[in-house]
Amino acid sequence: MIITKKALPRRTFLRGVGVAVGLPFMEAMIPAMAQSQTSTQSGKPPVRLMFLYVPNGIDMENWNPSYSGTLGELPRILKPLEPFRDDMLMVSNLTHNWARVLLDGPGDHGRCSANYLTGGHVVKSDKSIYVDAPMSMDQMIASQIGSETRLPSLEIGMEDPRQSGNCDSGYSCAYTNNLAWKSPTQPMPPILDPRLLFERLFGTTSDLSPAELEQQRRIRTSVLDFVKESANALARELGSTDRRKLDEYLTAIRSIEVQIEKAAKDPTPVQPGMPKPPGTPSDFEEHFKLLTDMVTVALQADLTRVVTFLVTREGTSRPYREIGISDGHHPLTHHGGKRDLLAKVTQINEYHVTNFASWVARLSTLKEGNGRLLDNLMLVYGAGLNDGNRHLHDDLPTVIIGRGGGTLKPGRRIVYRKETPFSNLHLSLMDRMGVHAENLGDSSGRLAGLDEV
Amino acid sequence: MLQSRGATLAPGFLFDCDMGRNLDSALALSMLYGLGRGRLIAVGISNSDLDAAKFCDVIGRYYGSGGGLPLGLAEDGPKLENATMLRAPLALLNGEGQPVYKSNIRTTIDTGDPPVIFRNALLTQQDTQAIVVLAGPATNLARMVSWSSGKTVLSQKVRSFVMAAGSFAGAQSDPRIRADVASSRKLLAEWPTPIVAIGVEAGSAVPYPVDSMETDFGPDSNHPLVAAYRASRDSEAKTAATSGIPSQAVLAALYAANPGAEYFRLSPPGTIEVADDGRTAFKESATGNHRYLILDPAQKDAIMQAFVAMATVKPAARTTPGRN
Repeated sequence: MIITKKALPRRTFLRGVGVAVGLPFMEAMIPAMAQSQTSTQSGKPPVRLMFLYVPNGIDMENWNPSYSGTLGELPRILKPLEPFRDDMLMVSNLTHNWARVLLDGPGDHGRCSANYLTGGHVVKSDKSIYVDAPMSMDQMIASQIGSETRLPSLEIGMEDPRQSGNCDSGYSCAYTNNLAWKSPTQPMPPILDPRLLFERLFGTTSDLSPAELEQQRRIRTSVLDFVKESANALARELGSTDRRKLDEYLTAIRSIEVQIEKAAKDPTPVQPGMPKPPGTPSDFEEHFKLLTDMVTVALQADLTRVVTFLVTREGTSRPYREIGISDGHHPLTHHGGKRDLLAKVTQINEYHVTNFASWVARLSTLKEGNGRLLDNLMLVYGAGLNDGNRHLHDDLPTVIIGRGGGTLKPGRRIVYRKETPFSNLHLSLMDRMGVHAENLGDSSGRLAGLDEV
Repeated sequence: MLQSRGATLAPGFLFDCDMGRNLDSALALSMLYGLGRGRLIAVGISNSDLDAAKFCDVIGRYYGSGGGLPLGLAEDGPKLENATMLRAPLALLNGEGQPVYKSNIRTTIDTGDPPVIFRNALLTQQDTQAIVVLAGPATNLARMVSWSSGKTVLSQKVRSFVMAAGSFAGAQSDPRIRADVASSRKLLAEWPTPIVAIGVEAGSAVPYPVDSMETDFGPDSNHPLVAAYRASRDSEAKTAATSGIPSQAVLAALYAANPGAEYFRLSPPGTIEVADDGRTAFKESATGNHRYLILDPAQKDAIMQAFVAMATVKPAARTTPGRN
């Protein structure tokens, strides 16, 4: 047993003027957590849930393995995740029926993103937005357990701040550009600017006047400058393992700052003619890494337990010059069977997963308590469309990385019966977050078998 | 509430059955498919025999569905012990050793939970446009009624409900009711639209003519229904040879498609009650939501001709579906 000098509360922050830096799970926190009455009352780290949404469907031929059961060799798009297949649960054949045409005509992109976490009917409008569901599942979780963390939930994204106007056949941009919904009419727009995200995670700017805030931005070289004293004081009280962990953690934060500074100096736009916020890398890989590095810190420090990440917005026409593709993503998905165009779609799908897998690789090295951070995560990677060419809403591509605090048995692919509601997955994941609901959207029950072989 | 858009669409039919028990359900399913592409919106099966699902799929493919119609198969229903009418056609091989009737249904994964299938299909329909036909135990539909969102959708989308179940003459009970008395009671008590019941006595009084099965489809017919008929000819049709094929489900399909036909007469409104042994009793009541079909013997020939005309409709020519 490792003996530490000091017992730390889980919600310990390193504080400075306008700054509060949460801490990762440390051994010194275990005695305090064992006495806690919150969701961590067992002394185990909390389970955290995150959705990463990629738009415009997936080339399913290169996504679905030909088998179910134990995961073996993975198809091309999922290949980058092969080293982590023991931490990967693939769920197939789940359907979002309310995203279908039904009687609403064209607009699958507009429907499927707003429907993804709500499970509800998305009313066709580019003015009076309404999703026929009380709120999205992440917000249901946030409303019940969000008070246990500094941020009830975190919504991030990589492009397109528009919250009005017509983004798909009469569907508002508010539908395509948000995943989280606090009410039927109130989406939770993702934070797109990495600097804002950084301040949200580490700033206590509400304590400052606008003038003080501006002054802090001008003089600050690092958030760590403001917490240096308290960090040094804390380090003296910690055991060697926790000291090393604290050092690695603060180094990671500094690395994020460096990435933001570097991006701020780079004027290259993502798309010609479209300005980008300062601090936003124009390169997809760098941008994705910057955001996920910040999420990593947020997860480590238990700043929030629910994150939604709209990687790019539904229906996006973003080009991927990073991998030599200058065509827009959405037009490519309507390839009309042309093999060269479909090959580019596959390449984009693969590129997204490659970036995700790089993040998973970083996460897999992080310890938490007696295990790994991954043991307590449920990272859902998926799309609200199956085939982007035909706009199918069944067999939605979905993988879950992590073990959900021991409530998931990964390393497998489970194929459910046709038309099984995707909302059933939501209820099942909510259960694992300690939030129980009778139904959600068009759910018909829970998914069986997520935790049993 | 979902608003209907565009022109009024033809009503869609939802068919829930006990496929494999006899030819009645297979005939009824064929008749509903024969109404044309897109008219049958979902099929449910109240037993848990995968061959029943395969056979429904095969019939759909005969009519050009391409296997695209969602099929619901009960998970906890009974398995069929003798279902020659299913097994034999599915086992037929062509000259190359390949199945004559192909189906992509290989496991229960290829089917869905019936209430979910029904709900999803009904949501494609304009309000109060759908017609539900039951030709089996009430199990699947009672589950849907028990499910709050299912009942809401039924109330919103269904125009009428025709159930081939019950007995309204004599002391006999209907095996389709006996198979699940509790669900029958629930359905009759809680179904949100008017109900028309077709009793066993009606099905016996106007059987589907055996001659039609032998001749009207053509001697070389590749209709899976004919293959099923031939396979079961030596067992079930021993009685059918003289009296024809009992047509309770066939009548339900015919009535559902032609409720205003002059050869049909209904009872006054009332309430159908189900006894513990499965017998049904009808109590007339001005406020009742139930009626049952009263067969006029003078209309027997007209009805049988209508059966044949509807059952022998050729599959519609294939068209390219439009993209949404």
